[in-house]
Amino acid sequence: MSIKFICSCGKHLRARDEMAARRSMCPRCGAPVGIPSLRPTHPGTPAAPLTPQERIRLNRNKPSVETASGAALALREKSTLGTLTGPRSPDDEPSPTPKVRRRRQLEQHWYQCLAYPLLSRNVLVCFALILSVGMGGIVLTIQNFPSFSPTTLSNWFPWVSSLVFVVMIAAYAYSTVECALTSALEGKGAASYLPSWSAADPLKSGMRWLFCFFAGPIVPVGLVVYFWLYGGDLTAIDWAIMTELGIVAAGYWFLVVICANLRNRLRDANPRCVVQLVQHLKYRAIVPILIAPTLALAHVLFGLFTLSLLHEHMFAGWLLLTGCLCSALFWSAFLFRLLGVWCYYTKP
Amino acid sequence: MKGPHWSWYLLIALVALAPAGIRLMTWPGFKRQAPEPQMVQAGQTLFVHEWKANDPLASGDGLGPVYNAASCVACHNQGGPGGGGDLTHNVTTFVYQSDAEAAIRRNPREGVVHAFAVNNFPRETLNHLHSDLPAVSQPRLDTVITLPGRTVSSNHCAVVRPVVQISQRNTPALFGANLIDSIPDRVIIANEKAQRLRWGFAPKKSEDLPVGRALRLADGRVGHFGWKAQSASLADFVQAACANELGLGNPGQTQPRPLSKPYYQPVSYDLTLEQCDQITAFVASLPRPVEKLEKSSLCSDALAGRELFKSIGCADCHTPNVGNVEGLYSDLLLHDMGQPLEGGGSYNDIPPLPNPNKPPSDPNDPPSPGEWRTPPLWGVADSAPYLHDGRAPTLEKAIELHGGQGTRAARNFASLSKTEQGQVIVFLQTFRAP
Repeated sequence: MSIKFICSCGKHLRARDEMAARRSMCPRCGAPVGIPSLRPTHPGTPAAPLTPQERIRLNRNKPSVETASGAALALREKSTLGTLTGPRSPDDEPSPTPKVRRRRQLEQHWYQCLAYPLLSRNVLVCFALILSVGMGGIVLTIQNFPSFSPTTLSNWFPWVSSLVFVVMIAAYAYSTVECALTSALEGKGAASYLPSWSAADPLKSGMRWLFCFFAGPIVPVGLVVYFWLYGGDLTAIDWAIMTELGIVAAGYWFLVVICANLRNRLRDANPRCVVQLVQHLKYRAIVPILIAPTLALAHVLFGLFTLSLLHEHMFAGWLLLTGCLCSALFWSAFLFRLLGVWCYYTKP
Repeated sequence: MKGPHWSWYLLIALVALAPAGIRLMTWPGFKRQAPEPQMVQAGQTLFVHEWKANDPLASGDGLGPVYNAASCVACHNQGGPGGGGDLTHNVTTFVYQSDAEAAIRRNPREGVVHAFAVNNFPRETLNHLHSDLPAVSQPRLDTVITLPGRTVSSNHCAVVRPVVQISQRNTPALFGANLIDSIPDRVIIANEKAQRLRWGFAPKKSEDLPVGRALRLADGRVGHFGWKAQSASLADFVQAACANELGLGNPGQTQPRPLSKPYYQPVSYDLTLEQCDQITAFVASLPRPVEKLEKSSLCSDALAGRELFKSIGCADCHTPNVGNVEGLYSDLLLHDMGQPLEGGGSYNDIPPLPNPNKPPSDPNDPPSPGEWRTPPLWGVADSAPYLHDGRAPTLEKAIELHGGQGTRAARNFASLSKTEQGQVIVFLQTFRAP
């Protein structure tokens, strides 16, 4: 006797009984697929996998999980295949016109990764809006910040709390972008992945990014800030130096974040792992080394311009800042997804 | 597969590192150097020398023909040679609101109304600038500006303000000038950038936030000296002062033509470049002001005052340290101090006329009438009166009169208790002339 089940790509599959409750690879899409268990999930129910008709009906009744509508939170969801061994109902009838929303596969081509940020557009735009309001608010009210002294600590409470709020939102945004990478590294198809709502995950993610920043990029970034501050009126040569340092900083940061996520080990955020990753990526390494930093620099410069504009034309400045943050989050999600997919296929 | 030849990597590395290498070779450092004793000695002689018309020490016509004082030390004397001056030595400057107005009266667009003239020259008076103005050469400050609590006098210069703006300059102290001269341009520009960063990338033309700007001169250098930061180096400042105050033309600055004789041509320069350098060397040899606590009981007040000085925002512009120079209490930037403190008129070169209706946005714009370089506070206790024209007799009054970008600090000072205000003043009074 064999177990019949359907892969998320629609392929009808069959497995031997001894493979029950184990995982295998779909011969069509290559995605990992769970083989249903033979044991009942509830006492008294027959231990048999769902028929294709049952699966279709279940899909219709549970659209929030299986449809790629953007609402499914795959990091939170359990394996759908594990839940398919529910009780059969005697009045089950096959649907005459089954409309199955297929689970998306892992991207095969780079341009398919562009769909990832589009699937998460609502979340990313929300983050951009909240961040722009927070950043703009801080920039515009910075003149009202009380001078720091031990006697004025109570005056600082509203400012510190608003700052913490913005930092938390930023951490959530980082974490969401990181989901693009981690989900791809796990071979999960494109969907809208979100971190859990508990503050621990975003904080952990934010700390990982911060650790990766201190693991190298802080040096070129520090040099850029020092050079910008003490370089006098900047000439073309100065801008060339700062661009080079910025590219080094942003490129290394991208790579080191990927290294730390590959095996979920912070100790991998070191130059040796970065070099190994570049060797594995081969010509594709040009994306994290050159393209991503160039995009990052362009966004940083434009973001600084919009912050400056806020003082003179508040609404225009805020609108542009929101656009800049939206663009930054979209591009980040795309690039991390792309690199995650490449890393998944090349198995560094 | 065969990889690229190693020379390609070398070439890429060289190209990538070339800008950094070029910049390292041209990185400007601090240029402080002690002046030579012989130059200082000769400069001191020139500094205290009472100049006369056709003076034997001068090559040209000597003192004048129009001048404000007969020697450097006549004005720079508070706390010793090189110090500041009182109200009686204020210099009167003017600026016409347009080239056409100046051309009608055959006057330069900007300049100085000199207090004295040599024997055969008529003295310059305000009447030379505009027929509605009185024929006085040394107008009192209260006839030039409206002092707080005073009524406008009948011969008040404000009546001609739409045509020509008249203001005065108080003599600044020169102590520690060599240290200011040693500050690289990039450090002053760093102050400008840091202030923008501090106030959330606020624009340099901010009307209320203390975001100043470094004045870039026509030759690209940054102004270090003068109320409008109009001189990039101590040598330039000395040369301009010799020409404008004493009428001693020199290769760095020609002497001004008298308003009464606009076509007067001096026969030659009065001072050689070497003589100017000697005076510069003497000024550079002047020691820096010191921080003195006369009574130990005031020590705690002064320390508390120092903290308050920072916390109320005075230190935003009166930055304690600039580069390697400690205790300067100035960012050497131009700040817009608001309409009541406006005062136009150039002291040496004639820069392009600022548009009063447009705040400066380009770093190369000339200073607007309301923009003043933050005066260093070292030695401030021995350099009364205060502000650019000496309108504030006390430090309290000077703080109170801060407007524009200084409003925030002045408001914070006013909100302090009398005791705390006293502590800030005690702190400022520790800055003494050497």
